[in-house]
Amino acid sequence: MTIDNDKVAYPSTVTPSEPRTSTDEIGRQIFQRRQRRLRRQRLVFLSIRVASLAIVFVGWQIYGSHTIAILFAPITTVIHEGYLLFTQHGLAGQLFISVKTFAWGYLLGMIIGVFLGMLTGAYRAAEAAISMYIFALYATPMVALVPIISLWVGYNFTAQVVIVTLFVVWPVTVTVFHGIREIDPELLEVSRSLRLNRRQTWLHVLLPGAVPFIVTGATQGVAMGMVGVIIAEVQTQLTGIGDALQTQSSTYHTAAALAVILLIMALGLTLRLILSLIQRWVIPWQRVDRGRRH
Amino acid sequence: MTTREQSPATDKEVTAQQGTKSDSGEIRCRDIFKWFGTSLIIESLDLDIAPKEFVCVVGPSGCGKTTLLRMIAGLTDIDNGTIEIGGTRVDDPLPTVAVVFQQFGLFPWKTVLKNVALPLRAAGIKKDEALQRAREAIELVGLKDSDTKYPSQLSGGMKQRAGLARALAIRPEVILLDEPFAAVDAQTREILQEELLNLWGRHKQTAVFITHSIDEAITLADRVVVMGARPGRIVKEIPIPIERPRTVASVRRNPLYAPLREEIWDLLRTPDSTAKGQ
Repeated sequence: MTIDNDKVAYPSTVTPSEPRTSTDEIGRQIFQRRQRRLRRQRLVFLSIRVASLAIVFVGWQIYGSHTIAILFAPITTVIHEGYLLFTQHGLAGQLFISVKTFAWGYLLGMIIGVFLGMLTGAYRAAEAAISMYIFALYATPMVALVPIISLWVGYNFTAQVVIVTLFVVWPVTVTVFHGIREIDPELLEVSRSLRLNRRQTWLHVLLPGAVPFIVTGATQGVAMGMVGVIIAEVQTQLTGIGDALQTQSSTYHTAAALAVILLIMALGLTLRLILSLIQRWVIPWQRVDRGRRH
Repeated sequence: MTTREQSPATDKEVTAQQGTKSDSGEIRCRDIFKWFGTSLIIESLDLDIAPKEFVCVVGPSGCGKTTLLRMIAGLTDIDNGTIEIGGTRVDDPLPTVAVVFQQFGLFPWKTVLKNVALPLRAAGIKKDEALQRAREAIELVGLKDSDTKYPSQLSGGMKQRAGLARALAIRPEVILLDEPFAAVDAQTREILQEELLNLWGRHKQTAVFITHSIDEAITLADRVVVMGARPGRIVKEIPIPIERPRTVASVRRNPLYAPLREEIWDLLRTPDSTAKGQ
């Protein structure tokens, strides 16, 4: 029996006159065909992605070659300028400084945010006492606080870390707060029924239940923290990538400035990638649903 | 959020109050009232359940049967009256009582083994012993090969087996089951009924089983409590004199089965018998 490539041949379609193929064999063929189709689809989507990148880069190259250098530059020039920044202008050192600022601010923001979110999410009294400040600050663009922070803390590394922390902490707090609230009330009831004490309820129910929301908060925190780093470095003491960006664009080295922006993009993408790896590791019970979309 | 602080002292008190061995596992409900908002859900309900008796509670939707179970479990406040289990007044969940939940109540972030071991750990049992007892309970319900799986990897029937294992692991004197098989398909339901009959035959506890199904009630129970609605109260208590050991099939074949079924069905479908004061 042969199998039509586009139709699933069920054993019932086998007529008595044909030589009988075992159902296992048919099942295996159907499975293989599905696998082939899946691989083919993956290849198609990969090609679309590659084609899209090619079009953008070629378009960039052509447009960049036909405009004045102060406004734009071809991608090859941008990459070359980026290379020069790394080799001759100490961009690696600046990147390190920025990553350090980000890491400290992000870490502090996550710790404070998770703590505040859990506290206000789990205890009504804590919510009544402080949630209005959290939501007020969440609604405030943190960039408005930058001049005041500089005034209070100074134009230094500490001020930059404080600024990044302020950018990270509110979205994390609000996400974790809602996360704790969304924990299935039946599970809290089960915890009571199983006679878990307060410590056990936190350890076995609230914390693990909040993990997916902490991860979501962490992802939002990365985006906000990146904004925070650049603003802190440009608006306080000029350091790190912010320095590179500001110096290059204010002296009309547009190609170099674009190179720095590409670097910032790459940094953001890397951080998100790391987070998605962490996510798989900390939420092993959540099967990643790879449903097919159209 | 409500959690209860546990200390060895209160556990000792509970043990001390349990009194003689003979009445442990006895449930006594006296003059129970319950309101949701201003509407009366349960009115002046009295119910006594003997140690190691299997009682099924049936009734129309909204008759307060689940609320009654939750009050016995210590999960819902009793507005008036008292419930005592083995001579201990129920205010909070008691250590001798286990609940099987309709939606299984398994923690999605814990494997079957960890889910079943959790109440043992909460009762202060050392980790190794808790895991050992959890494994025994899991084997009892036939989930031995799935103990490292997460609940999301299990079928509905397997989830409820895990829920049952968790309840049995603490070796309770009273087991409360809130429509435990309502969320599984019809065939699995009968298989689980069969398994429950088996398990209960071997390790008898006092059991209170809430269900919508008359068949299920007759199959499992020593006594069926029929409740009426608006407000919830007991309409009639019907003993099921079918000998044990039972199987689902043997109960269906029993000559008492059809008349019992008809009697309960009549009580449930006649509005006059369930609506009060008419």
